Amino acid sequence: MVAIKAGVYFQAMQQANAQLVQTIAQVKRNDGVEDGIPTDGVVPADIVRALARLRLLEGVPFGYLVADAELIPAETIRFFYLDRNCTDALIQGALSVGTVNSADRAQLADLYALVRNEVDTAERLVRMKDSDAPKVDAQGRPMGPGGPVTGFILRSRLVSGWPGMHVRAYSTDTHPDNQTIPDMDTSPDRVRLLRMERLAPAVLFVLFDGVPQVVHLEEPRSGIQFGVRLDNVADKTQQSAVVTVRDVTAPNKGPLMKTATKPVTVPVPFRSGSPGVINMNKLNESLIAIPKANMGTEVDPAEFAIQMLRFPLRQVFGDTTVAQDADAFSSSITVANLTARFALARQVLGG
Amino acid sequence: MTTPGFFEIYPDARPALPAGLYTTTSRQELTAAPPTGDGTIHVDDTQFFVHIDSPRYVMPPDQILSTFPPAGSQGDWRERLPQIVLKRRTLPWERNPGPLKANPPVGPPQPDPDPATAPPWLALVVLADGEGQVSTDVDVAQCVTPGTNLGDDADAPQGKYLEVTQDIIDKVFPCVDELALLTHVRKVDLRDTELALGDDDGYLSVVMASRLPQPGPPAKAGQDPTPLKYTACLINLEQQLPVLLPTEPNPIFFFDAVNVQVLASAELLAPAPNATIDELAMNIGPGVHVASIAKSSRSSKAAAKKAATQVRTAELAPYAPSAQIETAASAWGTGPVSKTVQNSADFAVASGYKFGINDGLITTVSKKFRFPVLVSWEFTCTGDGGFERLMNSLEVGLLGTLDENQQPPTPEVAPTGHVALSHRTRRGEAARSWYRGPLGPQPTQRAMPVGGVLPLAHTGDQLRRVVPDGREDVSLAAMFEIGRLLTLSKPMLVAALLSWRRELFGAARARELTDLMSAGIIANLGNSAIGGRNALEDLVRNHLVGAFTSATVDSIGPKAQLITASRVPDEIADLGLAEVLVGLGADPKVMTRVTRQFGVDGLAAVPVTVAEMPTVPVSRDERALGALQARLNARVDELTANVLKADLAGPKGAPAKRSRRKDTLDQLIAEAEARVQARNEGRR
Repeated sequence: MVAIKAGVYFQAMQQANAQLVQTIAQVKRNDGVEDGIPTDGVVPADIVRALARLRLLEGVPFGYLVADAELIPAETIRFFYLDRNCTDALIQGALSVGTVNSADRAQLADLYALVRNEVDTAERLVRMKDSDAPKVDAQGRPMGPGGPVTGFILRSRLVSGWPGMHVRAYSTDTHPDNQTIPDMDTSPDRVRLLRMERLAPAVLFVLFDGVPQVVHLEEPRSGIQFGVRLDNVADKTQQSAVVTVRDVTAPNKGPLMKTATKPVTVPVPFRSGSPGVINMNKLNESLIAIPKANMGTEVDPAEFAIQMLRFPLRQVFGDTTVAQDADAFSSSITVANLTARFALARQVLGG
Repeated sequence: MTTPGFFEIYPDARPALPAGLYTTTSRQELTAAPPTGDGTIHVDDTQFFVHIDSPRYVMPPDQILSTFPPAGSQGDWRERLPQIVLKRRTLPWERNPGPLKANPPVGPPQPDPDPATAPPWLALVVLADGEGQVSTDVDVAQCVTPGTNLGDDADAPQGKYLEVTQDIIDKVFPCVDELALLTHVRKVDLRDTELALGDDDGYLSVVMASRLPQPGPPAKAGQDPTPLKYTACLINLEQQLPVLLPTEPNPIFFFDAVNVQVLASAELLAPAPNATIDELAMNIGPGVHVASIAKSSRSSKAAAKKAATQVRTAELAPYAPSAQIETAASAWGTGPVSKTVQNSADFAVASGYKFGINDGLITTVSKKFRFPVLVSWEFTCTGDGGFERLMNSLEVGLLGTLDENQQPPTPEVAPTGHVALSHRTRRGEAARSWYRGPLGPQPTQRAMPVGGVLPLAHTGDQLRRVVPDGREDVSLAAMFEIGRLLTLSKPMLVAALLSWRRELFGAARARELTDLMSAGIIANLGNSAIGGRNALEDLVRNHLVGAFTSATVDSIGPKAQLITASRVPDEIADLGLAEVLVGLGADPKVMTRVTRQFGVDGLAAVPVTVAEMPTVPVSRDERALGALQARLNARVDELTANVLKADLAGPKGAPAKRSRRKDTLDQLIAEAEARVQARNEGRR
């Protein structure tokens, strides 16, 4: 017969029962994988990892994502919001594999809120490290897991031709469209990518951790390229081309502008009888002939190379009804009106 | 000083000494001042030999940083000039390319140009399929046009060459005065990984081509252009500058972008013969060549033309770096890919025959020139449309919205993004149900806990909904099922989930927690707590239930309400302490005195008279029986009087009349009397 101090023991058991569900997490386990997913949660880390990937729709057949292929015709980009109820249903289906009888289901139903919170945290860590995940968004609001997720599907030859395309999204539209952006931009208003994958050679599927205001799609930066711009001619047997001219003493200011929207260009001379061979010397002479280009009179390969530079293209998707540098806040009432109104109120109320 | 994201461009970077063999002599002159006149001390000259090396026939792969377009790639490069980026900034100026003009037939040979202003000795040429021929590895003496002598300084024993006609040189190769414009030096910051490409000092040299690659003409008018394969070769121009055009011809400001294959020679495009190396070498079967025809027709042009047609139709094998005989195509053809083929003697014989054909026949038609190829790569130009063109023609919209100019039949799409799909229910009926995947055009509200409980579905059917228009919405149910199926398809995940279930969904970790909390109370509670399902039941049964029963009533739970009060007889409820003690045979006064003096333990010393156990059972005890009988009779009379509502004593003292017939009760009473009398009589 075991001597039990009944009252003290019972108090301890009551405490343990009441806190059992919440405090299971205090016991740490070393899982050996460094991806920021805590190993001491209610759900074992490898299950959380698999559920987080399922949340990001990895492995889900395409027919379940887009019911009818007519919704994405060729050469289109379609933006969407992610329905969290559907992804929760995916997880519930996954969890149902682990329950056999009603006792299991009852236990799991009690734990489900915690399981959902843990998978919410883990889904942001699939692609980025814990330290990369921003703590506050551009407005300074703390960003937690389980927030809105958006994305786009791009079906176009762009995806098959340029598989290394850069995708970037920002939650505020305050930068000019052609601002130089380094490759690994860490500005605070950047909306991170949760998933970027080519589902088919010509279909790109991207998920963002938030609702972006602007999305940039950029040609892959495969080093520095030189080239010309072909004119849009109807008769391809008489294809002509132009080179936009830059000021070589201030090359970072962009091309020289003839009018506000048209840059200064020179036509490209070709060698007769050959398909597309440029006469470099004649081109150089015609570039030197433009005084604003500030090129010296002798042949300088460096200045010529600067004129021939072509930069990767960036396409910006955003709200076209708002001007680019518009202030986010625009007042709808002037101060004069306000003072008049207050003066009137003082008169009426006699205060 | 460059910062990341910026780069500087320089026109050239000439080495202090170009490549070659040098003899360096050091001479010392020492003068001394001896007391007797002056003197010089003679010191012997020292000579040492310096060999400044530079690639000449083969470019080492580690000197190549990148190429554009990328080797083996397909894309729309119509507006871009191919280029190659080299690590060493002085490479294009390390060798003197030789005299700019041809040596006159009489008189002294032309001098080499001044190293400070000489054009670079490297040029990048881009040739489409059929415009030239790149060879396999051959002895370096054969890598140049016969008659050119590059000297003995060779960096590799074997190299490749490019063979082209004068026509191609005039039309495609750069002119002598263009060479300088096509090469420059770039400086980038080493921290800029994308621009530096792994260089060691940040200085790179760039060699550009002057040809814009175009795709081939469309197969049918109005269709997309066909892709066309190009080979870009970095060639060595030493001693062959006079072959190139000295200056550019008069320019025109457009080019024919449709007929891009005008310069291709059909003979070079013919497919390889379906013959083995032996057949080629022995000149039998499909490997028949027409060298004999060629030799006989060297004299007359007409016969040469006829031979040319025969050559065209006789299936010669053009040679490109990634043709059938090499086992694996290397993107930069700088060296032999398949060494066994390279060293096979049969192969050398076959290639000799092939080049014998060209030597024998084509020399009468046009002269061919050979340039050593240091590195070459291939790419394909398609007519897909450039990045800018495709990006500008993209349709932008929200998923779930239909384009106005979409051709019917269009799918049935609701404004919420749901799509109506035909659905065959479990009972076999055909229905149309709404489905919307996780992607929709509007934000949605996520289900939140209700009363602290978050609903968890256990089957897909629990998530089917019915929409106001009567149809079903199977989105969530379909997602549930696919989530379940995806999980079931991963055995590792199933095993992990089942082991999590076996641990009672995390209860195993409570083991350590309960050990921490209850270590002072019960040892090893944790171990016995959760060793699995059965151990938990034992724990509950053996330990917990006992603990609960011995706990106070109020700590287990609230007190149950008194629904029915217990019925206590009035006589017992009124009993006092003294009467109880007397009934038990103890003296109350003694009891109180003892307890006051000795406490509870003193009670054991108080004598209590205990009645003897009766030896005769009550049924044999006549006195008790008689008393009980009398009482029973009196009670029964009372009850019957109450029932019958009759007085026990009649008017004027007459005995009670029983004017009824005898009923069961009377009978039972008579029987009981008879029985008692009979017993009494039997005993006497």
